[in-house]
Amino acid sequence: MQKSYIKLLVLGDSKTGKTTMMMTYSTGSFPTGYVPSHVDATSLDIEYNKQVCHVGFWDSSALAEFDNTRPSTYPNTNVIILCFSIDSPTSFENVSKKWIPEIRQYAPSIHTPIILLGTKCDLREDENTINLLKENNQMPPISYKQGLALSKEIKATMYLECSSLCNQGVNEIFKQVVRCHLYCKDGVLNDPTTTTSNTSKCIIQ
Amino acid sequence: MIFLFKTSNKYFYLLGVGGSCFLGFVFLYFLKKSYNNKNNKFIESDNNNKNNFEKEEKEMSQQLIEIRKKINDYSKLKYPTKQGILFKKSRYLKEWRNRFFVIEEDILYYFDIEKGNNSNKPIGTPLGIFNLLNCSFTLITNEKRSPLVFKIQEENGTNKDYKNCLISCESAEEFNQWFQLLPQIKQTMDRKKDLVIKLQALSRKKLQQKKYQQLKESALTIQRFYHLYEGERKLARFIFNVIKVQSYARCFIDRMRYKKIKEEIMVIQSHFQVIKAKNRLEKEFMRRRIAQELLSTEKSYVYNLKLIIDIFIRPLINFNSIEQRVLSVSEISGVFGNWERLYKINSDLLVLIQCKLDNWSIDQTIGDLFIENTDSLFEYTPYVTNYDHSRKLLAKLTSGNTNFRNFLDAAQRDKRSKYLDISSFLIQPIQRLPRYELLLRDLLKSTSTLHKDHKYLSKGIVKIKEITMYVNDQQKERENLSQVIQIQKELIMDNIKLSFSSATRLIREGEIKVSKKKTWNYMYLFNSQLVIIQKKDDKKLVKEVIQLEQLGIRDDNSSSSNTITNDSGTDLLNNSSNNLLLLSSTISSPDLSSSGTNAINTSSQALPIGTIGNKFKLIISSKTEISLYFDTPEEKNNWFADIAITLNRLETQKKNFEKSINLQTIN
Repeated sequence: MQKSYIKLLVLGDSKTGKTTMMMTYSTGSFPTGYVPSHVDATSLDIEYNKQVCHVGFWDSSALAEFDNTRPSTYPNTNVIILCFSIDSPTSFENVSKKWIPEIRQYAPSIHTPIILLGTKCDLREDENTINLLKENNQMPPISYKQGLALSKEIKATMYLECSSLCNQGVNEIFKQVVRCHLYCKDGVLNDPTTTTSNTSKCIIQ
Repeated sequence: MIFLFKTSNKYFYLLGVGGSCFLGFVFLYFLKKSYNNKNNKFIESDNNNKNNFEKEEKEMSQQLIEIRKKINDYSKLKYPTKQGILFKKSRYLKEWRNRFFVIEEDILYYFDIEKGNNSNKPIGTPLGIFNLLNCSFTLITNEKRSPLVFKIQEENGTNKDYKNCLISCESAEEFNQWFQLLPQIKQTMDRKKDLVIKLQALSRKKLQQKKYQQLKESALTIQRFYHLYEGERKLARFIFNVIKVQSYARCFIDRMRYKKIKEEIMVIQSHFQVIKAKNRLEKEFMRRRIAQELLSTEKSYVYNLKLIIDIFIRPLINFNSIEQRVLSVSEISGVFGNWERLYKINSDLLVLIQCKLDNWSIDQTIGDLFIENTDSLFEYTPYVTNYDHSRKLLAKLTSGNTNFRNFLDAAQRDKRSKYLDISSFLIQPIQRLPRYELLLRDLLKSTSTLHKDHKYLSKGIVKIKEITMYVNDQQKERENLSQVIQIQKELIMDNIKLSFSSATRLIREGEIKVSKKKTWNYMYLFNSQLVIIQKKDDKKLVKEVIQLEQLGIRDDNSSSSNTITNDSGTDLLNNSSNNLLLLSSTISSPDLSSSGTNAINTSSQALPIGTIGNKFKLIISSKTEISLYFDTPEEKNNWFADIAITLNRLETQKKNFEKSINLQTIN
């Protein structure tokens, strides 16, 4: 069987852990020391349900210098992962303010699957993080319900959470990427291989 | 008479002894002094004859004369020791005469006796004087007159002429008294003398003792004072010692405290040094890591550039026969642009970066490399501006050319490409330029301001930013031009001339209505023209073309009427019978070259735009107006603002153009 190629584009605010997540998945462990803010496109083979797919990772930088070049990365994208950090309400707000308009403008199709990803979920119960946000008069860490509500608002295919530090939920992300590519048609996820396909269905409108 | 004489003799004796006790030493002083000075002789005399008396009187020594002057009468002898009438044998006549003898002190006097009366009183001056201290007394037994006779003779002289006299008494008792008394007087005087000497010694001793006692008392006083002072001195010394001990203790405590504080300071300083060194090390570590990232990303980038040349470009070019040719030369250059040129540029840059990191040290600089060697990065401009066209051409070729698609699949399966799509490689030059800025900025954060490289990096960032902005501007211009060309192709013009210049820019487009009753039309706002078209069976018919140079706009719904009108010219207005407004300008406007930027700061535009209503009017001339209707008031406001901004910019450009013409005329 011929391997299919999936172009995966990872978007989100700065310092939300996009590159760290990709490095964690590639190397299997949390990167220590210096983490570059941008890595070149790489390719990995991901197996899902006895099928192997080439997934091309397209990392991007949220900095203003890349605003001119970032639209060039959108063509032929199969799946988009939109990241925000659970301990950063600002990045949560920018999902609907900045990234969704950009995706709607430059994405190949309005039916391109979007996975909303909350990173750093281990910091949700962290006392230091909660106190720090409270001192800065910001919202508390984002809860699961808030993330799920936002994913429905922006008509994302699904909502996931992960923690690169604890290596929690990272592998699940890329499995879901393959599922979205294979079984998502016109924004509706219809996976016949799962017994609970009806419950996991995400219907737009 | 004898009894009375005896009684008188005892009285005189006692009185003389007492007197000698009290006055002896004074008299002795006087006498001794005179005697020692003169050494006069005592002269013995007989008073039988007046001639002898006168003769003796002359022979007296001066001392005795002086005594006689003072004691010229018996009454002058105040305190005689013994006195009485004795018989004295004369020297030459050898007869015994009565004389009155008186002993006072150590001098023996004898006087003449008054003859008339029987009163036995001495009269006149002394007939003779003997110094009893120089005389000797001898008892004479061969005298005829009486056995009771003794001789008084001076002992000093060796001559026989020295006076002497023989004395006798009537009774033996009296004789014995006189004979015993005379030596006693001498002894008494000697004893008296000794006593005086003793008294003097005693007096001297007492005086000395008194002086000594005074001295002793003074010494005692001084000593007592000294003791008191010594007490005070001891107290002072004690206090001094106490203070000294206290100062020693305080000094010790201060030294201990100072030592402790110094230790704490040294600990803090060492911590500070450690932290400082750690910060410096961390900064240097981070700096090195970023530099290494620059090198590694440049390596992989250059590797990918060469990979595309090896896998795609060279095989496509090297197909010899026409049957095997997959793409034409123009198609290859259309897809890959000046890829080989980029490869050369970055190969040279990689060599420089590698050389920098091979000689890496704390003082190594990287910013200077980007200042001097990045002018060649301007050649990224053709590739970036061509990228969109390249992507579309690639999609077209992939879908239309089966041989090319097979070629791509075979190339993708090559292990060197890591199964990445060709578009993953074609995007990399697009992302490389902002990547340089990002890396240099991170490197600048990790570089101390004192470092030599800090200045270089700042300038390098400015340089890279200039290149990036230039590339972006070129891309925007190309995109805009392609957009205008696309619109131009779509428009269908009947009886209307519509010309676009290379400086034409599309500002805004959207749906409008020219009246309430009619259907929706479409309008384009360019930087010099306003075009209204009608969509009919998927075709775009140009209905009106309005030049913005003569255009004015008015919003009747605003609180104050605001009209923006350029200088009006003479326009010919043709009204056709089929309600089409045809407008052609008789004045050909000069094509003003655009400044390249469409952005105008709208904050300086004080346009009183009303928020009510969804229409405003276009004032084409003093007689002709067109009302434009929009979907929403917000859209109306946006169109109004854009048209106003465009009109304002045209006015500014026109003034600048006229000013430049005037300057040329003056020159």
